[in-house]
Amino acid sequence: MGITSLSYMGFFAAVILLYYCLPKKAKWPYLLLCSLVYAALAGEMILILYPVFGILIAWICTNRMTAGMDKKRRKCLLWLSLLANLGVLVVLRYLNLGVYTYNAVIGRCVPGAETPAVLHFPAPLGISFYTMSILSYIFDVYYEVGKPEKNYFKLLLFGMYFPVLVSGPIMRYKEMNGKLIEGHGFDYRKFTYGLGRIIIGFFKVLVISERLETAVRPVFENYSDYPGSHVFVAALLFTFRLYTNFSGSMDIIMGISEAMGINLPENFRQPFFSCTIREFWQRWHITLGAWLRDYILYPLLRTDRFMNMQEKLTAKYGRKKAKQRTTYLALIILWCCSGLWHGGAWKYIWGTGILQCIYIIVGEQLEKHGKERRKKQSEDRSTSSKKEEQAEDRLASSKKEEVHKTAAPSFDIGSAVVKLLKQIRTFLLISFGFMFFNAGSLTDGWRMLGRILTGWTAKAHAFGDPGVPGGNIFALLALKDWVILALSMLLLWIMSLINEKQGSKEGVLKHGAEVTVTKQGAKAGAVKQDVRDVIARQNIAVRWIIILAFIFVVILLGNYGPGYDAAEFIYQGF
Amino acid sequence: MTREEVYVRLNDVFREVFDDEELEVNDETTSDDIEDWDSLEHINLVAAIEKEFDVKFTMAQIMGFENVGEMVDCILEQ
Repeated sequence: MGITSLSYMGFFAAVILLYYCLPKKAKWPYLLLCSLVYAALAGEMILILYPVFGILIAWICTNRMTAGMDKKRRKCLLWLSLLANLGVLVVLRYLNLGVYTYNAVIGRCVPGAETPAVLHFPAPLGISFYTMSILSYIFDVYYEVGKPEKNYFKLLLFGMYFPVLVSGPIMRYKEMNGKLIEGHGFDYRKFTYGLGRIIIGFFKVLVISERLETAVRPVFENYSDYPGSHVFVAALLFTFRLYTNFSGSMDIIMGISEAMGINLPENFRQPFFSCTIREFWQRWHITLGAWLRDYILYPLLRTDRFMNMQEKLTAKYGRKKAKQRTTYLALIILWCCSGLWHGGAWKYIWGTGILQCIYIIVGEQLEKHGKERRKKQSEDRSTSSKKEEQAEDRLASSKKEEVHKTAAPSFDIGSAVVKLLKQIRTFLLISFGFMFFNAGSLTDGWRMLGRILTGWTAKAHAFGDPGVPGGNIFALLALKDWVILALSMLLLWIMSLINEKQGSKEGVLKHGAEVTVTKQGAKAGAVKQDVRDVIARQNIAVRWIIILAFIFVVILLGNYGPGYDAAEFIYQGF
Repeated sequence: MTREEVYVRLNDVFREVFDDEELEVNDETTSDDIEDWDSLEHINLVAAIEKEFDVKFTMAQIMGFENVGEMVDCILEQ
């Protein structure tokens, strides 16, 4: 039951209808029931036992972790709850990484040798997402950041809340618990905003992502048949495909939840506006990044081993370099975890892990050198300008200031161009990493790169030649579809631009409704706004024209046919 | 140790960590006031403070500090 399928939308409509009819106290048990039903229907029914028991053990262990308890006992309880949750995830998702690696090494070293078969363990829906959410709860109780939940069923609802099971976001118990069990009454604004977000999600997934997939998939599957330039285009298009697919699914999920009055944490913040890789990962899959930072990086840097290492390095290289080296080591471990989270295969560990870490470390080093160089240049300039000033009188210097002021706008244009170039650079680097993510294997990823570098100008079939679509990415879609894609992506870019501008604005919302509160906004009681607020501010005629236009675009231009059950989301298997 | 004495040593730690000799912090200083004070530098700062004052913060405290004043309260408590 894909979340863009009619059956899922029917399920959601039935859930929401009854949700608003039920008395307040019955709402969260009802949500739990719906979540269990959804999890059972989404895969093999028996698989539901994994989260049910994993969360049960987490609940028992965390409730035994009382303050002032013996440290060893506390740690024992932590390990037991980790085993029941993280242990299951490792067994179900990562055992094959060992098999793949062994087979690849043996296959190369001893040709013809027998290799073990790949293991097939069916995993419950959303195992990577709910495990991370439950782990954050366990760690919070262990570190005494949060309190243990006394009611097992409330914790079970947190782990298995049905919209989130599909592809996240990863939740924090202390932020979500109140929202899930509160029992929201009908709120017109939240309901309509939620539906609006669902439509935007459908637009991204059905109109853009699915269309892109038609052009991208054949190239990734048969890259050697295509010129390098076309493989390059496919790699760039895949980045858009991944974004529209993942962020589109998030829009649908968050819209569903918002329509029930439950706001989920944001996972995307216009990632393609990032100037650096570090910034990109602060805007892409935000909840995963925050999780890795809080539960891997922070505790790691504070372990005795890391502290001792830093002390030894300080004695040898000085404080600054020691700090830098230990931080980089911790970052490498963090990014390996990030890669592993995406899947038990080396292509993930490299493409969304180690490679990203290399980007960040090299980027920081280059930035540091750039800063030092600029500082030196400005120091040189200020010394020479001081000498000039001594020679000039006051009037002359004020004139000079005026000239400088008039020159300011051209400098702004220059910085805007530099910013754009940085954004393009970031996009290209990220696309290179995602190329490995989507390749058949790590080896295929390298071969695709080889094809881009060596076969750039290999001959492609004529554009639009219907007889031989292979060999020409542009022939994989009809001209009409390319035009639809271009216009849809332009529209998406405009929407992102509005979101970026609105996001930085702070304004108190009408109706006093709750929206994601930014760091600065929290202080001022202000809220973050998005494209839906801009639409809501229009008069009724314009508003409905926009809404209906979106609905018709999705219905008429969505890339699906009769009996279509929306393609699986890329992150759904995680 | 008085609050003022804590601030004398704390300012040195901040200057060292953020590599800024003119840095001066007070009770109201937050991560928004110092450009390089991001999540990664936060943990380095905490480690440097722990070393300087021979104290140990819990994870709950590290993640919950709203401003420098709260850090100083924690140091004085220990």
